[in-house]
Amino acid sequence: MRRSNWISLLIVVAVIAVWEFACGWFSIPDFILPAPTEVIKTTIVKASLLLPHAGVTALEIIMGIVLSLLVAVPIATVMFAFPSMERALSPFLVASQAVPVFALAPLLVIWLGYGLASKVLMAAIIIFFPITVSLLEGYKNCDREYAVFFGLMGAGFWKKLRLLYWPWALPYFFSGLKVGVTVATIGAVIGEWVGAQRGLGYLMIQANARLQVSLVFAAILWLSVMGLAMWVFVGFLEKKVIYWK
Amino acid sequence: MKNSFKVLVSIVLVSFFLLTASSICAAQKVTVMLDWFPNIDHLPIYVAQQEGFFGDEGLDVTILTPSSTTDALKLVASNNVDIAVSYEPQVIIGASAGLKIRVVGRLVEHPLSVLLFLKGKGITNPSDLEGKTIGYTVPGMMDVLMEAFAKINGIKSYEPINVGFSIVQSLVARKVDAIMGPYKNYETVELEEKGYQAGWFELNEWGIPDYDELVFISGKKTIEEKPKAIEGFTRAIDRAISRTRKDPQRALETYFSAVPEAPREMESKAFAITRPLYAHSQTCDTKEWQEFADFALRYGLIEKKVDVTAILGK
Amino acid sequence: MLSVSGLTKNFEDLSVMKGFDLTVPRGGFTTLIGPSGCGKSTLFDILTGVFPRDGGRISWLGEDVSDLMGSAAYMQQKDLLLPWLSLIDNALLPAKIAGIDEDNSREKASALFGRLGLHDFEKYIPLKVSGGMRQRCALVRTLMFEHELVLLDEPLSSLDAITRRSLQSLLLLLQSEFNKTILMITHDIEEALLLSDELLVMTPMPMRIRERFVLEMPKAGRSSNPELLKIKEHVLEELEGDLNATI
Repeated sequence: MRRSNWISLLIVVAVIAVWEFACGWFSIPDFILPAPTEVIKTTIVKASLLLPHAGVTALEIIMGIVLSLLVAVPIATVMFAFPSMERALSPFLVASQAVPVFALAPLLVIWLGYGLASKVLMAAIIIFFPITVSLLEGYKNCDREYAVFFGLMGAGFWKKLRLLYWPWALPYFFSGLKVGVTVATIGAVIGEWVGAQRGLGYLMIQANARLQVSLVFAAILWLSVMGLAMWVFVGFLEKKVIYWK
Repeated sequence: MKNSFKVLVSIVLVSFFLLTASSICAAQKVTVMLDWFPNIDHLPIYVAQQEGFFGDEGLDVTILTPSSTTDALKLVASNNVDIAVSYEPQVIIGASAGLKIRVVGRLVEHPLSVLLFLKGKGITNPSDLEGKTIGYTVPGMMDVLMEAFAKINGIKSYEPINVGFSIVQSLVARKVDAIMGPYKNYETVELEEKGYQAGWFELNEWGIPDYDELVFISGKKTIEEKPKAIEGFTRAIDRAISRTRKDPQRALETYFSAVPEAPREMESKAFAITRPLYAHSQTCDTKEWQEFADFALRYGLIEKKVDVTAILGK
Repeated sequence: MLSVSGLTKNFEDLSVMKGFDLTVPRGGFTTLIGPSGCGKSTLFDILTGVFPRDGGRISWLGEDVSDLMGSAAYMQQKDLLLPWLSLIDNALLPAKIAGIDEDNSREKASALFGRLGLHDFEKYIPLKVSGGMRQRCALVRTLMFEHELVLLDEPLSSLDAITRRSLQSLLLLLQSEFNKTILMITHDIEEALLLSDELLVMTPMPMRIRERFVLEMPKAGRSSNPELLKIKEHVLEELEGDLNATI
């Protein structure tokens, strides 16, 4: 293992050790801050409870990402193809990022109900900006010389888009996607906090109300693992798709 | 030939009859949103469901849990759920604000809410709350009730904080000195279980009139659309409450099987306190309600007078 | 043949070309050589239509055209290979864009790869091969253009001397085997003398043809030809003179 990995591991172990010690030394009640051992025990013991809720949240996130891609890719492409559209749509793009998602959540729940739809939309909205912007930047980043050369070969804009701009933009697109995938989790969970009957976010609220705080932490742990897994998966996909770097 | 023809006709007629009968008997869907996460106060609802009382009324009831303490009222007022659990003061305040809601049933017929605090922190009298931080559980109701309590008991200033569902944590972590809204059958028991000494002021003893803690409400539009379903619902609840009184042990077990995440030991203790308080009838006491409505007007909980006959009864 | 007459181009106050004329006979190999920044690359930009001209005419095979975009093959100093395509797919790009039949083209390209010593490297991506190989691939790509006219903009100047030498003889194939009409820009006088039928020495801006050398001797023995050595010295002197004049 590389040195940096050893250091990371050391830090994690140190934090957990301090946490465990502090809980015991200061006699912190388990419903204020549970000890790491409690949390890990709960994670395993309550796995059968956590699993279906995790499944719901995972579904919300994945559907949110898919929805976002379906909208973001065409919009970024149109903005690149027609500069006037870029000027027209830029303000909305920025707005989608600037509006605090917490404020939108209650409205979405009122319009779309307690089911999956509001969470999927929340996740989609939150990652729309990073994906669109990174794809657009990717398109624009193409060396002018290549574009000219393609023109010399007789290619029009849409051929250039398919054969040159899109492959060129892929690395940028993937870094936007990696960011998006980790942030989409936030959207789904906030949606669940505001109104849901299932999911890890919903479970967190109910568990907190019942003073089962180690279950709250266990849910957070599962959420982190989910986010990490998605990041790793996108990274893996990236390596397969972008084989030339 | 004639015989088989008769048989064929009979089969057709019988199937036709069965089909129509089953479509008539198809259960009507009803959504009920609780006011809080499922707890012992809601036991009759779960008993009604598990023992098939809803089914007997031809109802297919879905019990929903809120994500925040204000969901139930909002969703029922906008007719997004059919029935919600609410509180008498909340209903009066809502009606005064123009919400089109009606009371359709009762669950708990006396106050459970108290002003909760930890013993040994210097609070023995309401006047000790002067200048303190006081949490409340349900915005729009408990904060308003606190204002009235303060007025009646001469507390001139305090800092109000919305604690939502986090009652025990806020008290123990000393984020607040006291909380308006916890129940004397629940959070008090919870605190003792965790090894803390709970103290509280009962609202009745400090100037707040008697009221129904838990009632069932429905939106005006929903009542117009599903009157039979709602009547059936309240009948089933009434039956469930009677059953609970007759056979409390069985009712308790039924509740735990329906709500497995409920802490058994604690809620069994709470059950003992709650049992006598379940509503004896589904009809509200108009006189008592009007007294509370007038009290609310007098102490500024509401700005417009409320005529309770408009919200009670059909 | 390619004919340019009266070409004029100004960039703000700067007059790059004023009434510039040039003719390349069909099937000929003409090279332009001149001091840095004299406007040679601008000429190519105008010919290919990247920049508009302020005056003058361009004609190919007797017909006036606005520019040569889409009607000439082009090879540059940078190979401009797409990093995500294999060498052979890169070479097939002009054919693919023009919509020409794939299988035929693929065979043709493969054969060319063989001729240029790239047979084993067809399926590799540009990242995995050397600069010389990439430029050879670019040459194959240039040959895959269906057009008769080929513009070469310092095609070998990014390569080391040895690789350069080996590719120079390949450039000759363009003319000898593929019957192309070639206009090339280079900084390397020797290269120009080895490959061209006509060498045009340019002046600094506004660009004009200063001197014209017609080279009729066979290309095979040129590297040891004393007459060419003399021409090389002469051109070097001229260019040095221009350089000193501008300092």
